[in-house]
Amino acid sequence: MDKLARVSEVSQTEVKSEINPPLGQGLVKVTETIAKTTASEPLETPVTVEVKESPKPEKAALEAKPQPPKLLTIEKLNFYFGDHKVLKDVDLPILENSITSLIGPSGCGKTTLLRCFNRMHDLYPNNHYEGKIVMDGRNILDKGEDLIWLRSRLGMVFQKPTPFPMSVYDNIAYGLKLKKITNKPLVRELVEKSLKQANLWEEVKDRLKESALGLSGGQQQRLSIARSLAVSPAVLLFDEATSALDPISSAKIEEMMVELKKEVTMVVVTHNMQQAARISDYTALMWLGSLVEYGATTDIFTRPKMKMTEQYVAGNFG
Amino acid sequence: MTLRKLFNRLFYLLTLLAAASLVFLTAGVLVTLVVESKPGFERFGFIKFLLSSDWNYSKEMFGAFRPLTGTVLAALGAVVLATPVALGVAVFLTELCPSKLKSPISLAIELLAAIPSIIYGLWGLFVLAPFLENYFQPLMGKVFGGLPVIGGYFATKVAGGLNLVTASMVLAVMILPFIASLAREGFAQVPDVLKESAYGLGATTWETIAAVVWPSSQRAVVGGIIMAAGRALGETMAVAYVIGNRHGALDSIFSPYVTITSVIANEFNEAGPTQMSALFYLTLALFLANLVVLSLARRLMRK
Ligand SMILES: Nc1ncnc2c1ncn2[C@@H]1O[C@H](COP(=O)(O)OP(=O)(O)O)[C@@H](O)[C@H]1O
Ligand SMILES: [Mg+2]
Repeated sequence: MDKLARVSEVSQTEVKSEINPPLGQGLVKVTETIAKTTASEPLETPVTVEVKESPKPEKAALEAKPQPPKLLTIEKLNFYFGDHKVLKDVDLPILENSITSLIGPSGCGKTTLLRCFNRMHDLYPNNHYEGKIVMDGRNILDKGEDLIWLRSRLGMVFQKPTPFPMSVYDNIAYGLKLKKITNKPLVRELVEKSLKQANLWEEVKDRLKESALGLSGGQQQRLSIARSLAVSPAVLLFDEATSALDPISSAKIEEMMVELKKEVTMVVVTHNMQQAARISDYTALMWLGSLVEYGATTDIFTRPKMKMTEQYVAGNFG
Repeated sequence: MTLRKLFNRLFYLLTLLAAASLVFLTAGVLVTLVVESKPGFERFGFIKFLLSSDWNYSKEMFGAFRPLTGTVLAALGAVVLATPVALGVAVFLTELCPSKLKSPISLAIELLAAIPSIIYGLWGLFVLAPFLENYFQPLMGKVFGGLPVIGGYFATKVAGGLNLVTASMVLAVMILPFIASLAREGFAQVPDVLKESAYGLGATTWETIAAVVWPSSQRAVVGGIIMAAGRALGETMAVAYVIGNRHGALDSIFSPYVTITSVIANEFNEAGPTQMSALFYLTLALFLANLVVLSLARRLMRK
């Protein structure tokens, strides 16, 4: 329900699109008219999505850009909670140094998919995977995979900030300690670097020794991100990491994510369509455990192949 | 006033009465203890009573030192023995246990807690004490007996296997389920997402417990351990069976000794007036000790 609320909140701020977009607009601009959605609304409801594209050079440039290499490849992934099959034959690439957003209605399996990447499901009994997630030529879903190592390569940020009950400094240094990095000057340097990457350094540099529990929600979330960054993961997995934050904190994190693309690959679960459109390079839409459509974010939002995608990005169901 | 409001008022008074009755009961117990201890207090004083190791029926001289130290040492020993095992059980149950085993183990813990204390006493008397006397005591004597100064404290000086160590062990078994379930509750209150954050950085189970589970639950767990110590202080029947009940110097951990409750259980029947007052006086001391321990536990658990 909170998702619905969020969507309608969006609709208040979004200006109804005009048929003719102002000229000189930069990238493909997506404007949506979001009708209040009700669950009973049939899928066939005519959608008022006006997608404006201007045949701008930027678009051509985008298409010409060579695709980055695949860092992770999901192949025919099925996932079961006990007997309950939650992911169905998902095929999806995650491209390096880019942001891939996972969108879809609540309960469609976004979180479940994200938690397959770092095998978080293995902490709980009776779950099992079928299919593959290939990284560096290896299937990380193999029984023999070293989960400790895997999880240090794929960091995770949750919806709720999760500061550990220790100082700001120790929070960031924690992952380093796990990796047996104990050289003090090096640790200090890495702590500072991670906090800077997470746009938090300026705010906490004078209170590194204070408990992290005293930071604000937005700061705590950036702390959680910095803590993951400190161990230099290859991938960061975000599960609605900004949905519990105020717009300003949220914007800070978005800005940071875009900045971070140089160093890490990110997979972002979000319910905020505009966020997905703003920050992600690729978007995957899921529905009832299946992948509906995957593509460059501009394509998904402006010329989706599937009717369902068109409706979903317009906020018309889910 | 409408009927509804009247009823509400009545309901409030009834619950207040129920709560007040508890306070009156406790106060009543305290008053009885104080009144009955008065002759003892007048005769032995307070500090002198606490520090005296007399227990002489013919001279009618009684002191609390031995029963008090016996009570504290037996309870302390029990906590030291039970805590590591109980924490292990709690960690296993919350973090590691395959779901199939969870309910049998939880059930076993609850059953252990439901066994009447006299059964523990009999088990200690007939099973544990002979076993310890035949195997454990000689072993400890061999291993530690040769040490300078403290060596003698590991020697078996009185046969029978009924002594401070046996009492501590029986008490340990009795408070183990209590500590385990309180610790488990404490651990279970740590949000999954916090643990997942630690696992998500590549922490092992042990590292996750050390970094997030323990710091977030230690107050509750330590509070639980102290509450268990309070139980051990007051436990009577089991201890009365296995402590050996000898008013003598504690010259070895394997010497028979006394606790407040064992003295009361054993001597209440045949006590003369002065001894009776001394027993009440001992009880008062136990009551106060428990008050201190429980308020400490509450303070810790309240946060
Ligand atoms: N621990 C679990 N056990 C059983 N079913 C679960 C569990 N977690 C999620 N599910 C089910 O899996 C489906 C997908 O959930 P989830 O991945 O959380 O969706 P999303 O993140 O897209 O909202 C839902 O139907 C949900 O009820
Ligand atoms: Mg989710």
